[in-house]
Amino acid sequence: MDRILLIDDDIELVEMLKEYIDLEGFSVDIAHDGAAGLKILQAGHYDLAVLDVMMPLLNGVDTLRRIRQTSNMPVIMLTAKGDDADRIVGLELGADDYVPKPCTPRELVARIRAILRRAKPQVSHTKTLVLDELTLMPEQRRVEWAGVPLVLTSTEFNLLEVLVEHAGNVVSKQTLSELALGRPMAKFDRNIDVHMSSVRQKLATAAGGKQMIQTVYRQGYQYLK
Amino acid sequence: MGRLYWKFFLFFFFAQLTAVLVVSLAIGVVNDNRERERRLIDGAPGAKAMVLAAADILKTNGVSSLQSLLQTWSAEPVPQLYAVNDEGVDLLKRALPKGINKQSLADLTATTNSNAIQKILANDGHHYWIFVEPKPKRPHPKHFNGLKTPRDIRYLFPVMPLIVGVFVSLLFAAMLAWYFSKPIKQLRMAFESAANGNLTARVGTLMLGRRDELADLGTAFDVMVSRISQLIQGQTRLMHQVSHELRSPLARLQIAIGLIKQQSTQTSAAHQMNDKMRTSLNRIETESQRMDHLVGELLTLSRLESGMTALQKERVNLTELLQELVEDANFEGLTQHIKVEYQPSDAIFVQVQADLLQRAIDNIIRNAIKYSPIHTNVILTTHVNVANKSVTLTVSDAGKGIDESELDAVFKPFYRVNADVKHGYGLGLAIAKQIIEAHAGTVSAKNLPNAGLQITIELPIIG
Repeated sequence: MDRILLIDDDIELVEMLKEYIDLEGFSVDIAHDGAAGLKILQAGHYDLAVLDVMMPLLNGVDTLRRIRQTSNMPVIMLTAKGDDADRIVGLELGADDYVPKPCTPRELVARIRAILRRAKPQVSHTKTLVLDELTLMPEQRRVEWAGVPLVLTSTEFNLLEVLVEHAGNVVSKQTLSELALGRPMAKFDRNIDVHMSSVRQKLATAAGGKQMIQTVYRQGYQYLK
Repeated sequence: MGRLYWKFFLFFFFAQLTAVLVVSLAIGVVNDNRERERRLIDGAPGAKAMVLAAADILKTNGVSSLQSLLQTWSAEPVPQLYAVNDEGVDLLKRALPKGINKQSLADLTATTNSNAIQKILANDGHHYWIFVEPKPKRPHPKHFNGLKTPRDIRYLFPVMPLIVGVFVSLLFAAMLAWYFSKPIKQLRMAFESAANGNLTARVGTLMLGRRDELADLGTAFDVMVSRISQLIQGQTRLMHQVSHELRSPLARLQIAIGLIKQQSTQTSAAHQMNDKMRTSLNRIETESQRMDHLVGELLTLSRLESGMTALQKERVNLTELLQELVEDANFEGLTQHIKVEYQPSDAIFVQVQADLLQRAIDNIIRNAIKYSPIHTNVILTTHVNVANKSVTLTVSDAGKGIDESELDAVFKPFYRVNADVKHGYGLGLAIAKQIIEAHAGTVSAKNLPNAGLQITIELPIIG
């Protein structure tokens, strides 16, 4: 059973949410602030964390920054509805996805499922992909550039995997969202752009400044062959 | 320069001009007498001595002695002394100097207070005026040539002082008028700025160092504006906090609804929930989602109004952004048989936060679709104004349009045409306006001559 940690300061909300997600077949633990959440994460293994942005003491963004120092585990941020700035900051820091709050629990569980499904090595894709100096190992979810491992978050790995599978062709943001995030792209959604910007940056650093991924405006992204 | 400036200016200018004229007229009259005397007779000390000596001789030795003395003097190359009797005849029967006759001599005697002319009763029973003719004039090229009469206007008004006087009064009038009208102009500009919604407008710093009623007025203005600004900020903050606080119970409500639905499908309670309950539950869920949507819009609006979000602007091709929007809108509008028409032009670059601008234009397009009759088109056009570096974007529908008096009101929150409850919450256009204004643009609405409403957006362009 997948283990999920909910970090949110709204005690009543988190209790109900735990009840809901439990019934959906996950094992849920809760923390009411960022610091407590970090402690719990260090103590045990979790498959995914749901993190509220607005919390007293250590807020969601700072908590995420701390998590990312040691782990690439999938993280979903609960962001204030209408507050784009928080959302973008969260994604830039490496959150895998965000859900604007208030949201229906069904929506949240759907996101959790989508992220988890794609965070795991998939049985159907076990073949190692090699393209010039880039090596992608879906089974271990590892990437190497000229033998040097690249540290990517789960979503970043998914995006790169989709692009490499379609190397030489333009992949639309719609497709990327569906294949890498497991959901259709929402209106005015910057999610893919922010993740792609991070992937490109990491890849370019490893490749000594060479841009392997090209942005095709209004169409999508392309991994250059 | 405003009207007030000219009023002040003209008032003080005329006041000073009048003063100058009156004073110069008075001086001119005094000068006139002196000048006349100076021109007709010699008033120098030497001449006076000659006159006194001649008068003495006439009084003591009689006419004949004076006559022989004049005879002697007339041979000398000095200004000649004349002794003219009351019939206007000189003692030596010489022609009188220019301008001298009985009348002018009588005038001179009456007005002079010097000894330059003497009237003596001689032993022959006649009165004699004794005076010395003026020295030959060095002709003055400008002022004294061509003088016809002593009453010449140029004598009455001293020209140079008058010109200087006029210029000085002009200068002072201008300075005074400026001194009053400048702070008033500054105040007016501050008022206009505040009326246009710029509540950071202050006049205090502009009137620094000034201590009078106008400066007090400026201070009062500043106090007023900062108070208004506080009130508005307070209200915006309240709206933001209320929307914000509403979200926590709303989030819990949605989860509670989710729990009931989950249990009704997963447990044996499923068959215990009757249709009525299920319908009501769905209704509760729909309403909570509506409230969620409304709260989200309110938050967006209040955040934009308070200027809390710093825009993250980037260079965006407006043409591509519009193409994308039109594709999306057409995808959704098809079911209602309404099409959005747009002829993409060349690239138009704007410096904007893309998602916000997209949202603004999307709200406007959606609004147009909402009020369009079926089987009509919504028309989107762009026009680049090279001169003022802006782009004009219009969105026109074929609907009924709205009342002329309500054209501005459509951009106000919660405004609904004809109390139309069916169509949204009335926040879409208000949000669009806030976004466009945050990008230094303008948005306005007008009715089209045939039918329908046209929304016009103007945005600055780059490159």
